Amino acid sequence: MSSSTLTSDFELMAFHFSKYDVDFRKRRKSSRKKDWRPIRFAVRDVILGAVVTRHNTTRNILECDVFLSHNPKVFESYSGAKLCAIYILSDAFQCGSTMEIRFTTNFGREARPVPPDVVDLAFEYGVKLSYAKQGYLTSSEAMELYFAITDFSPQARARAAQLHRENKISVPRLCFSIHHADWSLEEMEMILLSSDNPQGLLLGTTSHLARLLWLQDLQLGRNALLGSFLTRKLQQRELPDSDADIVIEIEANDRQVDVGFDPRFFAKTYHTHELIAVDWLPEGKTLAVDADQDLVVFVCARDHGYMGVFYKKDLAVAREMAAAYDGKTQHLAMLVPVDFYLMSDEDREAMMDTLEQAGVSLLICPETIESIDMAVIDKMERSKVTRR
Amino acid sequence: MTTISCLTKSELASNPQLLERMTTIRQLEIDSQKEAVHVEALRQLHQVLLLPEPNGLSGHFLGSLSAGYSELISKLWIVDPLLAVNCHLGASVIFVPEIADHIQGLQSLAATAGLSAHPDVILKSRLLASLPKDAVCVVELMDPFPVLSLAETPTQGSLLFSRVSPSAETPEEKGNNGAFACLLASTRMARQGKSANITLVGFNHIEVTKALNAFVYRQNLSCQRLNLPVMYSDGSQARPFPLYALDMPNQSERDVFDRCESLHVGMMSARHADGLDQITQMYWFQNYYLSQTRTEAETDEMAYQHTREMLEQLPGNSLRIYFYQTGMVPVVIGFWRAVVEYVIAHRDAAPRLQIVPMFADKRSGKYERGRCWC
Repeated sequence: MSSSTLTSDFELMAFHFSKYDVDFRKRRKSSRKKDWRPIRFAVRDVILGAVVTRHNTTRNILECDVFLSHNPKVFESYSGAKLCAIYILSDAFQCGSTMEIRFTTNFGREARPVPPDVVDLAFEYGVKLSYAKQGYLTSSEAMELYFAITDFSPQARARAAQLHRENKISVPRLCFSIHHADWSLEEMEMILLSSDNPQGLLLGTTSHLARLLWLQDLQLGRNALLGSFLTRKLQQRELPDSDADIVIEIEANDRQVDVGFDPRFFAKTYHTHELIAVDWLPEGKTLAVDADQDLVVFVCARDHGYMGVFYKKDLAVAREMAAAYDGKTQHLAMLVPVDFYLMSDEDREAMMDTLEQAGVSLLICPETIESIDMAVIDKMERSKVTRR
Repeated sequence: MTTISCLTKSELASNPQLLERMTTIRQLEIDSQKEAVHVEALRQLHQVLLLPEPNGLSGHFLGSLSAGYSELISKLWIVDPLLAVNCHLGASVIFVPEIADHIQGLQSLAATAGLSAHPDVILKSRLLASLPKDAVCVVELMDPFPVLSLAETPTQGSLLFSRVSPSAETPEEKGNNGAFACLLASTRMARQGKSANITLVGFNHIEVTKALNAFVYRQNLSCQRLNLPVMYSDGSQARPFPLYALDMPNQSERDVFDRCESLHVGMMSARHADGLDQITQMYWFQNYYLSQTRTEAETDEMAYQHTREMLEQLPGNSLRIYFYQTGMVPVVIGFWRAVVEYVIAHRDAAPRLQIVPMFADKRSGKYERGRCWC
């Protein structure tokens, strides 16, 4: 981008900000999708980008008047451009438009080419933009770009495409659910890869009056959340304070762990790059995963009642997993919520003995099924009123 | 796998609390309120059902259905959700007096879906038809753990999104009401036999009402009525809106309403009440019921059903209603759909109803008349 264009873009941005200030902020009024809305993105004191968009209701497209992005070398490539692109694509989906995006300047009065950062980003992800000079991302290009920059694993990407083709759930909706923080990418992949009908949970369309189906959706959501809790726990670096029992968590200082998912056993797979002492074991047990070792965890988010009835079936899955991974991984575990302690002593001991014989450690997440259920139900409720 | 068991009078006699709990579960399961309210109560109650092996349940074990049973009921629910609710399809507890309806509904839904020969439909019908004489209720219990039946990883197929060109600005759009242009484009597509719907995303209620009014009257006698589904920005779809459905009233029909009684009605309670309370005699909708979190199509449906009920209660003589519209597009569309259907249903009788929308003019602070609907 030439320096004169950049200068004029900054001026335009400043003008948008001041206009927004006068029209909305000072009047304590909310803007609508059809109003020009300036947004800035920053990580602490580093500004990664700024965009100004509005929904053109007549043509049902999104117009982007300013697209300024900054890609600092300390972050991954195209970090600013990707962030801004995700925002405008999510905005285009959310406002109910066709997702076509038109790049403009001077408050939508003049057309301008697609910003170079967006062109580069699309090229990087293998998306061809046919109308870049005219300043358009057509609806199909926008959807392709949205899908590409969402960074699904190849397996989940293929599954998402399959669901889209079967008209069960659209790809833009899956991407939006992730960027709108309804489900994290990791949770979404677990849901997509482990169920024949994930759309009931993701769209919130299963009526709770169909109790059996609804419980299945709830179970799927529980598993996804419980699995992601473990990932967060393993990735989080905690430093014990020298004085007392306080544990300090340092932001943006995650442990390097490669996370995968094996849908055959609803198992999370982890490959570590440093020694990790795994928490959440029963009293008196320890589990340390060395650098370059693997950990495979069967996630089983049941409440104590269902656990009591089905634990033999679950143990059979754990044994099957142990046989399948025999010699391929160093550590195997089964993850359950804290409701495990509400099982009868007899069942609990039987379960622990069987797992020990199979060489599978037991991990007990301190979260209760009640709190996990509430989080899942909240997501289901939100999903109902989101564009499909 | 789903197990089906039943509890008998003799078993319940030894455990009176069990019947009470079963009844509570049943009531909670048919409660149409939000699920979050009941999930914890249900979970606790479900523990009652989860008794030790071998059958996983107390009472008489009747049989087990296949792992494909959940897939079956999810298909049957799509066929006719209302019938599925009425016959308690997918419920965990069904009391004996409901069994006949349950079997009939199951078989009817299966027949519509072409699944009458499904082994679970046959087996379940047989099991429920041969309950012990003193059976009180039937309990269905399913392991809700995900069924991992994805045979293989799907492979990338053909192009996901069909390539399109950028949209072009049509001459009709220039200087026109956007909602009007959207409706014009939709009706043209429908006339050409293409799939079309009404997508009035991002327009305010005044634009929407004016545009719908412009398309609700037939231009000439040969003009065919169009029923176009309404799509909302949350992706929900409401029932179709009838376009080109009314005949333009002649002068004498209009004159009837100049002489008849009139009623000034605010659209929704507790919205702009400071000004509207003084000039209106009643409110049509209660804010509390319509302003809950639900899909826009559901809000549209609520407004539609409420309006239908209200209109049916109107007296037989002619009436003009001044309708002070205050926003919320799904409510507005549901309201006008019910009005159009009411006028169509009573078109053979003497003119009965004229509704004049009143729109707030922000500059003057007064309400102005819109084009009437009758």
